[in-house]
Amino acid sequence: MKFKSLLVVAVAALALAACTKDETNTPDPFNPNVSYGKFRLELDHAFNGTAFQLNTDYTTGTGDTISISLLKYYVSNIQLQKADGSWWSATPNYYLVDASSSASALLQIDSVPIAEYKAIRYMIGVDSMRNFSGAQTGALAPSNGMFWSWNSGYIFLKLEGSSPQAGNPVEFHIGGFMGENAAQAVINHDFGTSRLRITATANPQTHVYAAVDKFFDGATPLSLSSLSAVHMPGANAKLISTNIATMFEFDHIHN
Amino acid sequence: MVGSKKGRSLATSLFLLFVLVACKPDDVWQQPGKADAIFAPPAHFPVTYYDFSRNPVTAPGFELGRRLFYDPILSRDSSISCASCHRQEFAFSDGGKAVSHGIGGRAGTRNSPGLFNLAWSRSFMWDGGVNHLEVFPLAPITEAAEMDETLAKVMDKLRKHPVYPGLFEAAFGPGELTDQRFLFALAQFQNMLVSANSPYDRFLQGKEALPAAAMNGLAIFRSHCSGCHSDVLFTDHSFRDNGMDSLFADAGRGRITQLGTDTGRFKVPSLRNVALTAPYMHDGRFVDLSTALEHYRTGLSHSASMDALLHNAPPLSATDIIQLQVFLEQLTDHSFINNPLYKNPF
Repeated sequence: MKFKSLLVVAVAALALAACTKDETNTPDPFNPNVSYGKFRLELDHAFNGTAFQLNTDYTTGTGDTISISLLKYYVSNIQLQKADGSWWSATPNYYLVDASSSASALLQIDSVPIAEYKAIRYMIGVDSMRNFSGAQTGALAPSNGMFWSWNSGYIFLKLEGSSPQAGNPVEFHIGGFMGENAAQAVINHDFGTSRLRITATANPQTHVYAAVDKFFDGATPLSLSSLSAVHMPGANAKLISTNIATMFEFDHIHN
Repeated sequence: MVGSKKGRSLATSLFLLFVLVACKPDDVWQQPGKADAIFAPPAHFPVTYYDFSRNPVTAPGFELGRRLFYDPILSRDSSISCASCHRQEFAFSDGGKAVSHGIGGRAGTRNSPGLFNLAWSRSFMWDGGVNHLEVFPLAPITEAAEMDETLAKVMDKLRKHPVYPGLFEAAFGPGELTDQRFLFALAQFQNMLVSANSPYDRFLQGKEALPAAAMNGLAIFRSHCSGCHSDVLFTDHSFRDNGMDSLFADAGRGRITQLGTDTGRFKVPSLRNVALTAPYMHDGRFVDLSTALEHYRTGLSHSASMDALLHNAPPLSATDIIQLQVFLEQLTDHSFINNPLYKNPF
């Protein structure tokens, strides 16, 4: 009987550990003393240093001309680092940023424990778990057109357009969550001397500069005459995800 | 003593319940209690692979899923439904067609497999490209050679339909008609397609004997076939090259994994109801069961990529083939193909 109670406690502890692995941001019934605030992550899209616009000709670092008609990507797994170095994880939430909607580039994060934070990290893409968990809702609803039907999994980033250097329409559908071709890009920004101050009332803004030009020559220069379409997970998607990882740069915070 | 034990287990249960509720993702609608769940797994089957806690089968959800399965509204020009290529009388396969035809008669490239015991399936399609039953319908809906429609348009048609919004609320409670609800309903219908009442099942349960030739066939099956088509689902869910070709027009599993070693591998299909699901193999090249069995006797490619179990298999005689066929016919589940629950509701 003692053994049984021990087992129950162990199971319960395991269950609790399973759901508090990421410190949740819903008010904690065991700790009513923690207070919460919020902040906004704002993504400012640019190309070669000027505000990015769809359907506009740009020149890439490799000299190709590109006009982008569609740019959409997922941001998820947002975490903030406290002064003591520990990381706080936001409740699992998935944001679908669409360059055609400025509102979609303003990511509201609520229920953040009041504190000063010195760094942020997030994922461009969708963690592997949600790629094999069946039908999802909200930003992850398959009707958003960011899910491969024949090879289950999310398209993390979609960039489509045209280029005179490419023989065909430019269609980069980047994703893949398995093994060596996992294509999520984890972005880390240290705020330097700045701090993100979460208070009970303010809604501070963390500005991140999203350099779309880096998609074409971040870590590996892309020549659109040799690669202008990716439609599945694999080596090419993985390669481009290393460029995506260089697209995001911390700019400033408005506390 | 007894009282305190009961009190303690109640407290424990409440605590565990609290933990479970606290863990529930908030994007999942609170389902009706388990009380109205109607899925009942056969006693001689293993635990299901599908997790019913997220989407328990209820009577209104199943009825809605059945209606969607038979409704051509899912295709772009409202000409075909799921049931067009998955017909109950053929254990939900396509009745003699090597490859199925989508809207406007467009031919696909693979044979339409039977649909049953999907709650135990780990992946879907011949190449296993689909990793969850709930997202399985997205492939035929969006494939140009099948329904050639977008999910967004299907959802739009359903939301504007005179009947469907009410059926969705009856099944899932008040709220938006989301793609998740649509896919949950189709999963409920498909999960209920359980085939577990063939003569072989009744033999396993000690309810009836099999003919002598079938018993001989069973012995041969167990020594030659069950390495891949393992009891009781008659598949081990793996992907293998069963010696069809040396050069592959269809990369099969390799198309999904991008691994050279997976080229030409296809999912080991269940052999339940196999006498009803001709023609055979991923491209439907073998017109009948005896031709398919003869492949394993005289037709193997013996290529380097052919599965090791076939390279090392003991030879089969012509009599073995006949007896194997008699045994395989004992896997036909007549109550499944005649079950009024699965019939066209229109």
